[in-house]
Amino acid sequence: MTTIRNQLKWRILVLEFVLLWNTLAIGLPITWTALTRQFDETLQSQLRSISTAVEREDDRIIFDTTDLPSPHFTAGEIPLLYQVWDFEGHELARSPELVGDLPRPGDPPSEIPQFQTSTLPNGPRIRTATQRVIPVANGPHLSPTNLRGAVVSVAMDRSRLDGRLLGVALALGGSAAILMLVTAFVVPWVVRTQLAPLDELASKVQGINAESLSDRLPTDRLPGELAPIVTRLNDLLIRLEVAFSRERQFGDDLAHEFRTPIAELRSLVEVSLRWPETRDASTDREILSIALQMEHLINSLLVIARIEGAMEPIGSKIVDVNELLEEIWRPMADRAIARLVSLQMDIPEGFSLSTDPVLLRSVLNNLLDNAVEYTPEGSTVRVATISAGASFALEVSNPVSNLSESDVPLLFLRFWRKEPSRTGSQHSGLGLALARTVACRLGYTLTASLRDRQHLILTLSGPNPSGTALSTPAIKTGLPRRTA
Amino acid sequence: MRVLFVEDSARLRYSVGQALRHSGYAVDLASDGEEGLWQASTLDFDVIILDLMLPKLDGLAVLERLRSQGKRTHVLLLTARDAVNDRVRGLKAGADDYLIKPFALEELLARVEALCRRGYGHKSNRLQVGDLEIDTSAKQAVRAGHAIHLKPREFQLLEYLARRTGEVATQSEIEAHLYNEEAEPMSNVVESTVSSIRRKIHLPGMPHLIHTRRGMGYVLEVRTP
Repeated sequence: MTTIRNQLKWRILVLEFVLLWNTLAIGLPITWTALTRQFDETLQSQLRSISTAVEREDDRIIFDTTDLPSPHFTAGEIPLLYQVWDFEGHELARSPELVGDLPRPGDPPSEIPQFQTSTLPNGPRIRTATQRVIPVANGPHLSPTNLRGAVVSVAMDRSRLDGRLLGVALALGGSAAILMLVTAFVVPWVVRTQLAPLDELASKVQGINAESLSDRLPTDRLPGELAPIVTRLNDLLIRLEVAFSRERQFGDDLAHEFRTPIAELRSLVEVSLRWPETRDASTDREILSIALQMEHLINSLLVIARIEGAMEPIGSKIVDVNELLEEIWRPMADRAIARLVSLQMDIPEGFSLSTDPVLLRSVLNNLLDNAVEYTPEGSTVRVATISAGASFALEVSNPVSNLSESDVPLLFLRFWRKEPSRTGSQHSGLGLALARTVACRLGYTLTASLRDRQHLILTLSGPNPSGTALSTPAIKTGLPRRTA
Repeated sequence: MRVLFVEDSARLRYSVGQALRHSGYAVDLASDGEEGLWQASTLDFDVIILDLMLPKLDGLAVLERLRSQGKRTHVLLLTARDAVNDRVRGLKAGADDYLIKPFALEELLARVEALCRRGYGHKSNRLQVGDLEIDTSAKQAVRAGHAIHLKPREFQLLEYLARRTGEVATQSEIEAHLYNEEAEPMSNVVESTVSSIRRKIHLPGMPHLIHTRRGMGYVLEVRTP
């Protein structure tokens, strides 16, 4: 598996190898050249010393060793060999220790020192410096011989230089090898140590499950690079916890909505069968009520499923909203009267929408039903339309007593009910979820808001290209007020 | 045996209450957590059947408060939640048993009976006092092979005395276990019921089993002459 640790380790090692290789490739020749140049400078100074022995005598070039310190001319510890020729190549002088000839490069020989490495017949590798030397002309007349001068070649055993070069090469190569070896152990350790917080984080993340979503990853003592990641992970955990909590709540609510009526039905029937004398008409009414409640629940779920799956075709018709609201209100008027709830409609006469009348009825029916059911007794439910050109907004508002801002986003969740115990069997918490699903299918949006913490406003809005456009203020005074 | 049933569904309160009464239990009902907690705290029950999702105070909170008050009454949790975690939470909070909705009435009654037995340290549904045998499941009493026909209330009282064999049961204790809060038993109802049971379980030549402790109460036991 590709891991950051492995990638980091190998990349650092490869990078270090390349750097070392380049260091060797560049450093070694530079060092080599410097040492050789130093050697050559010494050789050249010896060449200059030897060259002083080349003199002019009349028209001849002579090599006068008188001033040389000894026949075994040495410079420091470096053994020195020399050989002198006239321009034509006739040997004028040579070191007594010299076996064979020194190389005589250049034709014609240059006045600039020429350096060369060669091997003497008796074995030693030598470095030679050769230069054409023209003795100083004191007189006005110089013969051609004098002008051509002599060729002086000096040589030093280069075994010491080679030894130093080899030593440098070995030192650099050895250091590089040791460095590579140390790095091979140190780099993985450093990488592992530095990435330890990542391992700890991975371990903690691995330990998170559905039951520990409330736990949070520690953010203190984290490297700067990981802190924002952990913060994001914690944010994700919060969202997951909320989502899981809602999912769990949905499961609980669903279980309650189905299991409780089945339990009621089953126990009623079992008691009737076991103690027939307890059964009367009220028992049958209760059983019928449970059946209707479950039928309603299942129908609502089926409608939501079909609409979400776009299985129901959408019709299109001009719908008079006033007429539709009156039709919807009629069957729930008795319930509203019983709760002293009144309806106020601020809708312009003739306001219409081009939409599916059945689905629009379903939306509005749920909105009004919800308002009548949950508004406090004696309240007024207000329905008003607002038109803005080719779009519309219809508001259903009613006073509420026990809703908070945090409840508003939950209103459209399936099976959500303010009372967690879900007591009561008339409503299952599907009405607003169904209304929003249907509204979406119609191309509308259904939103909720809380005004002054006392009024719940459900707003149905959307385009209305072919409906009645209201150019005048949407809410007109003197609109009919219908009170249930 | 006296049972408290705390459930917010009116239909379940009605039907399960009926079933429990017909099975010989004195039943008290509560429709929310606060009422249930108040009854459970102030009265003495053999078993409490407690719904988890209750208005005002949920079932787990009721249970935890009961336990924190030191009430050891056996509690059967009743709920629509079937997740393992929910069950574990309920049992950890101090519940003795757990039943998921929907349930078979028979199973509920059997569990309530088992919890009642456990409350008196019995493991069997058969109680024996001398030659008197009481089958708490079949609601039958037999003495020396002779079946004894008892009214439901008489059977309840005999069963209560039999569960406390050798112990004195005071009149108020008997009333508390045999009558629910709504019932207002007449002052001599316990005495007359005991008298009736005495007559029914007595066989010629056999020793009396129910004895009166003047000013204290009644005790069911075999006394050697």
